[in-house]
Amino acid sequence: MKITGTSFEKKLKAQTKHAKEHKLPIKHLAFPFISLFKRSKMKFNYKLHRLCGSAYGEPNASNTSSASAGGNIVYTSSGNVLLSPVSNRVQVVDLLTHTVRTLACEARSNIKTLAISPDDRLLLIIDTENHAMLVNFQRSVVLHRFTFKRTVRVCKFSPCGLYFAVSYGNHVQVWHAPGLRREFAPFVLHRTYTGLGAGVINIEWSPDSSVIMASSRSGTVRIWTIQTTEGYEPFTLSGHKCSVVGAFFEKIPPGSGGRLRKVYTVSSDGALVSWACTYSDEDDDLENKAGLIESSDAAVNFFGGSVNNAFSSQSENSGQSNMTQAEHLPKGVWNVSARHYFHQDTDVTATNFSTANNLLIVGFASGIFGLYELPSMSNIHTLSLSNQVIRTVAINDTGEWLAFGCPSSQQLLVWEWRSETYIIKQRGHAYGMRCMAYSNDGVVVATGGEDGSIKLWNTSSGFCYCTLKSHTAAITACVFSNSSVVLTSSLDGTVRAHDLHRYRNFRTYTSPTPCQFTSLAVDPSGEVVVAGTMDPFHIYTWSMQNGKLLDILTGHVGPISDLRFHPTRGTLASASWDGTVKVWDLYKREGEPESIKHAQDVVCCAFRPDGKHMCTGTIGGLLSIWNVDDCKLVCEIDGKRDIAGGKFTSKTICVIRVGQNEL
Amino acid sequence: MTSDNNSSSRYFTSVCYSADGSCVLAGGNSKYICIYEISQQILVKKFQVSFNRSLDGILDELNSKKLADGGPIDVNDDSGDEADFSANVPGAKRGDDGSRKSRVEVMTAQVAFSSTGREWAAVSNEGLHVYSLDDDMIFDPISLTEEITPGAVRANLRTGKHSIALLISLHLNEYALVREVLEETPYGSIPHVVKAIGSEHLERLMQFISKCMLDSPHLEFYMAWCLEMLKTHGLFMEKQRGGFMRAFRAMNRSVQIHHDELKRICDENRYTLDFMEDQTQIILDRN
Repeated sequence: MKITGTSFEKKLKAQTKHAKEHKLPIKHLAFPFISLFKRSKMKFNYKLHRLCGSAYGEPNASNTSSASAGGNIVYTSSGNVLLSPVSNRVQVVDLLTHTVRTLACEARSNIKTLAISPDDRLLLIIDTENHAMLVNFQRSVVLHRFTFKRTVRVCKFSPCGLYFAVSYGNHVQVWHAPGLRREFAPFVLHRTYTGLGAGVINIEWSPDSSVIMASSRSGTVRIWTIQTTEGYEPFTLSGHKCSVVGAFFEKIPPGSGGRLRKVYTVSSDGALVSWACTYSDEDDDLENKAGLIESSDAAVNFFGGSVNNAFSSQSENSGQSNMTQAEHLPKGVWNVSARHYFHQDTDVTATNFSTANNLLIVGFASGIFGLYELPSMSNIHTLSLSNQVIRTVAINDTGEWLAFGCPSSQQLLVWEWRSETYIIKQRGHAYGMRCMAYSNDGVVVATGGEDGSIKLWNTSSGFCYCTLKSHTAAITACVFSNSSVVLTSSLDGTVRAHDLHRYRNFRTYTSPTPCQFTSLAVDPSGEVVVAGTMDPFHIYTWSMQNGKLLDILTGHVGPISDLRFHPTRGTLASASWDGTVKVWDLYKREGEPESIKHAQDVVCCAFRPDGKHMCTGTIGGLLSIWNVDDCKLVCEIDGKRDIAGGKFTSKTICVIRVGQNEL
Repeated sequence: MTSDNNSSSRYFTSVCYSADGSCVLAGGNSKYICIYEISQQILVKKFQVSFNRSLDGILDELNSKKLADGGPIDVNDDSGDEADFSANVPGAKRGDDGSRKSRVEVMTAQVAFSSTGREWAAVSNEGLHVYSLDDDMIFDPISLTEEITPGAVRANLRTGKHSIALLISLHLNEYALVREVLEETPYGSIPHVVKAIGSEHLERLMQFISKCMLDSPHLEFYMAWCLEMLKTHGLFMEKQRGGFMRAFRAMNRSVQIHHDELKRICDENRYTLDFMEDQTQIILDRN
């Protein structure tokens, strides 16, 4: 039994013959496209691999309103991988291998908050429409979708991994964390906790997951137990004038009976209050007791060696495990033990606490962050990252890498505070991206933005490694001349050439009268640069080497939309809104350009890599393939129905008014 | 209906040919990007750039609940209770009059194929979307017979018939298998194995080698493979240049990446050695 390509073809031919004889439509044949795939050898299972551009926040957001945009960033349990929300996707930044990839799943709208389970298996993503997605993080498969009826601002998995808590308007809801298996209704509500006056903005779990604490916009913090605990009234800590940005439990030192002793709360006006809990069933001379235990331990160690030591620690552990932290709480009373102020003159916008290392990070609206050691509240250092609001901060488990997200500049920073170096410093184009070009070897991608900056991206890591800021207005086109020269045209009236060895602008091309360039091409040998403009309908040609204007090509009667050089010959195709594509021979002195007429405005054109065909696109959604040698039409593809889809809310108002006027 | 909101008044604003010239990739002022096959003029694949409803132009049917007389109601507009940390103009009492919310339209400004043909990218309002071919999971064998099995590959490997093993694995066209055979082949017998490869497998093998080389520590080993391929089949490939362009570029890319990485380390080492040499010289001179 041997099935080969030729036997397929024979079969296909026989079928086609049969179909022709019986006048059957071709599409009913068994393998209608086999010849196509044999011929092109191309595969089409392209998947979104990566989203370059912004590392955090929402690309293209205007700078003032976006200060509150963007979700929170989280570390995975290993502390080497950072999850950063970018509009409705999650970027996975590996800090060790220094690569970034994008999760395949996509939220319905911009992500507001995300949480990862302690074992790194489940990722919970909640968007601005309160639509939640439960994702298997390793495979990035959506397991369940769910809509919360009220606003969700934060969500957090419990340290034991059995529950997750979400803020639910003014309430806190605790849900059972689902398993990895697909279920009909994986989300099961445990309880709703109430009693806070305004929107909940932060949730914190106690180390043994038996106590939950939430802080609100009204300046109060409330402590609940997860299971009903006899005799416990949820305690409210009120000592702030402003909304409480963060509330954290202090690490429980060994030998303190496994009870919650201290809570730190940080409010947006720059105050830190530390709360201490005193338990009525404990002696006042707790200190003495602890000291006694310690000294006796030391004595045992001294005389008995390690065996007794192990015994004593074991007994201590068993003493702890009898009661949860929640069961101790009814006997406790919380009091303010100290107040500290940050003295930064701006609002606190984000804060996080590393329990293991007792480190508090505070991010301010002015772009400054401070690192403090608690409980002494000594400032380790303060640094100004940018002049943008810091929306979220995170610290990894080992407490060495601080991550910051600034939504207005779409910036993600990872700072190693001990060595005072940046691990990652990535930001996107302000106001979005406009054009891109692959380098000839496919290793580098250059993008030009509306903010006039050019960014160079490494395609294997997905990181931007260089930003060139030589233009003063939006960049409209960029092309690679060879793998080390990138040219860009801009609305500021210049075309600039950049050297990718020294990362600088080495030549600038301008027109005699200032005009805004919208299209750009460079000839295959890299000697001639051409650029088209919107207003005088001219094409300017310069010598690449000395930057001198060689010629101005006139003849179009509409703005130039696209310019392309023939891959082997020295001819140039220019597409224009006047409905023609003109093919210019730059090296011939005289002679009119060949003009190819279209029914509608031409917006794009491209040459086939072997230079025999040219493809043009018009505003009617029509793609036309032309033979380059005789300028004859080869075929046309009507893509209008393929690309149609999607309605604009912003333009419906216009529709209504037009309708009324016509009536 | 104005032409602006008519869902059928979308068009392509950027086209790009694939590396082999058989297809065009086209994107425009719509959420879709299309790949067409030229010779048959058919739509091969359609990609939706984004499903993000925070953008405009994603939904095919708008919800009339969210539309009012004065325009769309943003139901999620909770800017009132969301803390606004941006600095206001001094003296402003009603917040920032200039602040407003506008939705960004989904569109594709530019599309381009990478020269390796394994990926393409599109510029949209959300950034640069890089789509790549991830065909490890796909079983796509050629000229399959009963004798061509992974077991046969391993059996031939054990008996030292490396070229037969490589041919069978190329027929099976599975990355893991080809890589196993490539790495099992002894360094000395690479030239002989390469000679046994027929012209129909060359392009495929080159793609595999460049892919293996990307993340492999056996740099010299794979360089030897590349070199032998070019030495043995270089003339043939030169004649069939068009068909091999993608493979050449993929190979060049992997070599280039390794070169860049090594260059930096080597330079650093050289400078450190120079520095140490100078320092010892200075110390010796002082003594």
